[in-house]
Amino acid sequence: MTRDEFMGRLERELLARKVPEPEDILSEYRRHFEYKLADGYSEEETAARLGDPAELAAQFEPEEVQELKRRGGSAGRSALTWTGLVFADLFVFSFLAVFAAWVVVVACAAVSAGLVALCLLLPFDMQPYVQLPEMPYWCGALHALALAALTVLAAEGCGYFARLLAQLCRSWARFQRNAAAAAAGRAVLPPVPAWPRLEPKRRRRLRRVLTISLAAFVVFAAAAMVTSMLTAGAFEYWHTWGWFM
Amino acid sequence: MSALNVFALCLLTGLLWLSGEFARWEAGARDRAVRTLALGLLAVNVLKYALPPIQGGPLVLPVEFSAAAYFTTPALLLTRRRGLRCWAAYAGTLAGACYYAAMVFAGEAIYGAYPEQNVLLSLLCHGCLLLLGLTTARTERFEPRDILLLPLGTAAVAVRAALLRPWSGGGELLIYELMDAEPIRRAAPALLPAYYAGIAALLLLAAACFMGLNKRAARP
Repeated sequence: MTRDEFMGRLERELLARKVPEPEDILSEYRRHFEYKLADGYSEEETAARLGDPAELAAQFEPEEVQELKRRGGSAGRSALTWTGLVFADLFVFSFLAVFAAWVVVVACAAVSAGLVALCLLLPFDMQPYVQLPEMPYWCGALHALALAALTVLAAEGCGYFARLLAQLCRSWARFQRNAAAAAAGRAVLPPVPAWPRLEPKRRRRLRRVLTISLAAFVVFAAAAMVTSMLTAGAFEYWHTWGWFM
Repeated sequence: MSALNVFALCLLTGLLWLSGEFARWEAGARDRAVRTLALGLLAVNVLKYALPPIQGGPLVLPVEFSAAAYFTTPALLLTRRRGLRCWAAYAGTLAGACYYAAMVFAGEAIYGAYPEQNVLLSLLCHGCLLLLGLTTARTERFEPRDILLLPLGTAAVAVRAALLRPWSGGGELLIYELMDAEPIRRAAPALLPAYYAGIAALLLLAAACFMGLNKRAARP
């Protein structure tokens, strides 16, 4: 079954069962198709995994919901589910907090690498405002190129990690909602994937920028180190230039 | 190995990659990028040559091939005159490529004693020229008859430099060293015709290579 066929059937079933606010439910399933298609699944595979549209629509039917509540939902099951979810939240929220801190660290790395690159490139004495290790100007300029590549790499990485964090939060919120709904005998919505969905063009662009900035960082950093060694006449050029005095 | 040479090599690698990226862009976005870059280059050089006389210093006119290209290449690309875009791309590519080649092979020996800000500005301006020239050459197919423009334009730059010599600011300028050929004039004046013929042949070869690059790289 294609996406259009699935959505058409689901819409007809929802209307036939007089489900209130069918457009909200349809938009959730539409978004689910978009995510799955972006992940490389075909329309037929996604439709098959979701199941029969008639059964899905039946979940949202007011009488059917009452029936489900009578059959499956119970206060005891709900309490048990909520207890489990609260304990799971302790771990998940700590993980999300650590992940958010990581996003901040990568953002700070991008900003500081960019600023150091700029200070190394500007041919002016910035002391006492900026304290950078002593080195010949053009060796510093080479290090600046490596840091500029690192800035791009870190900025792109930070953007992706921030999107991933937001998507993980949405995915976890949907999981909680569905678990609680299933325990109470209410209808469940399609799950939200954990990975952020990027347009194919944007994904290709991101991959290209990451690959090129990583390669540029490695090449420029190696060039900067080799040149510094040759200029200082020693492998440990940082000692020759008295960086740690 | 000196840091300035390696720095120039790293920049050159980045510029070659960037011109390839520009060539892949959608035409409208690329045109906007080229025009912005051309406008920036023109503005920087207008300031560079106009500010000293305004501040009471001597008037110095751009006579070197690259200095002339700082103005002709962006101006021609901004005015979109089809007939002269071939010259704009050629002048940008030749000036940028020769400067970066000199930097990569003898940067420290030639420019090591110059103030860093002057070298950075030259690297930036020649980098912009190379980027504009290569991007145009990779994306616009020129007519075979346009090849005549290239040696004629170079000759016009040489004549202009000879006429503007009193306002060149003195100092050792490559264009006057090539035109005067003092060492040959002193050591073996009989070789002067051969020397000038050699220079002309090199320029024709550069023009032919440029048209060949354009034929291979640009889409019809």
